[in-house]
Amino acid sequence: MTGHRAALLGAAVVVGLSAAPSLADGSDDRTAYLAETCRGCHAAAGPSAAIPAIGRAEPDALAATLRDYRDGRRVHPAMAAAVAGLDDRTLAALAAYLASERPAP
Amino acid sequence: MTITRRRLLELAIVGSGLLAGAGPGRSAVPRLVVVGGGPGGAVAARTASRLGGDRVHVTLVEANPTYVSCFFSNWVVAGLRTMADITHRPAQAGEHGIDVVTARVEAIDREGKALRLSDGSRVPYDRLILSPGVDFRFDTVAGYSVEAAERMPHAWKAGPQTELLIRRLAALDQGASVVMVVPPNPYRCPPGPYERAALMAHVLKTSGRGDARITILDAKESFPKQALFQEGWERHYPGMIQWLPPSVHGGLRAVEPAGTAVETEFDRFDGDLVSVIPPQKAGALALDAGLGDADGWCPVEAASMRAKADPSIQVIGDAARAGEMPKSAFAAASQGRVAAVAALADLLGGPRPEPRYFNTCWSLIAPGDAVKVGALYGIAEGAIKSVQGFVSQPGESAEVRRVSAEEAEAWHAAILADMIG
Repeated sequence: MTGHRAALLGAAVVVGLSAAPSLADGSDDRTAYLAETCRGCHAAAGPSAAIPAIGRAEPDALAATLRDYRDGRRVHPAMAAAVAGLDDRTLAALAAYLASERPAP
Repeated sequence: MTITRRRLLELAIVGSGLLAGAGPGRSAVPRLVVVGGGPGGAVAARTASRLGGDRVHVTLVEANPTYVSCFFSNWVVAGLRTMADITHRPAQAGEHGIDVVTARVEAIDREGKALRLSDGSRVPYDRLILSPGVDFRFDTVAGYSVEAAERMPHAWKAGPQTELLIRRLAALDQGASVVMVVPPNPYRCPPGPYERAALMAHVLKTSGRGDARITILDAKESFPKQALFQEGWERHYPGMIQWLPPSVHGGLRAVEPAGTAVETEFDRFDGDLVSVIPPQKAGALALDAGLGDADGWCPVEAASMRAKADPSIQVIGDAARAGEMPKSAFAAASQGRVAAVAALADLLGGPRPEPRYFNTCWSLIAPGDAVKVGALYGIAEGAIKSVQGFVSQPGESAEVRRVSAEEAEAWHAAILADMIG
């Protein structure tokens, strides 16, 4: 889980948190789980399709996109439901985690 | 399971235990055993393996060396995919740190926390995730049976039944009559029968048999995405598909065992092809283990998919009574993720993220024309309830419906990647 923690530290920098999330508060496991839920529709790698692969996303842009879906600035009802109720910090951690994943060679 | 395989398993357990730092006197790495290589079981196993790493030993038991998916089998009926496209090898999961065992589970020894396999071997577990799918209640349709299904294909478990339906469809003459019998809730893939009607009409229409008729004898007064289906049927297959609820046909009485007719309380429907999708229940493995309720489905704790009858077993997918979630491949995979995370929390300690169940059902009405329905689900008052849903709207543009069809294909690739890729 070391790589995941590093990703979370990265996310903390992105959103300007003074204290990084720790394993103790469960954020790490929650982020890992949330990232798994994305696989319900999104392949980690592959050609760009009607549902894009997310394995190589850039974290800042991905977090902004997820906020836009949540807040209705981008309209996609399934994506809006997928990120409903997730706060900015959670989305930033999720985006950083997803960006840290690389397609299998 | 062969001796060689068992020894490999023991070595794997010892090896991974050492890697995880399990010391002498402490039991080895906890054993998570998953039964069922469909979307629920395969995704549960993959998720547990990915997130648990060396801290858990994951075994996937599947009776068949190949798994033929029900999802996308309607695309095969339509001629848009082949049987090979929906035939998969669960053993490929073995390339991802999962011990894959190809054997039938004869029984679950809940007391001894072990599976008894068809070859007589035992597979002990600390936690068991069951994804047994559905079985048919053949006895609830007078005149129907396993044998009669060879004349009146259900094709609701993909494989030879799918191929039989395709052959029978191909053999129909112009002006043929197709009769579909559709079961009461709950059943696998709620919109599936109506998608199938559309895609059978597509096959008939594009092969010079547009004068054929498909009559759906439903056990329900309404069905999912009804307005969307009825609009799509009329758009592509005007006059070909007739849907009749019980208030019109009076209720199913019997099917002719020869496969030529269906009798209802009010009428008799002759068919050149009769397809009967029987009422369903949880897979026998779960019910034989005493995990089901009086209606034949398995009650579970909403937050973990843990069986109410046994804290060491989780039941996921179509067999589970999962609140407001439909019985779909997408839902099964979503429940598989929740079950895996909950199992890891139980076995290894640590926090337990709040579940975010999700489902989307795409239905193809014609090539490049699909509609969808879906939702995010959470826990409310101890049950799985919809939090935020979405559904296609009647009158959507051809472009929107084309994108929905492309989404369905992208989802298919994604769930296969998650199961076995």
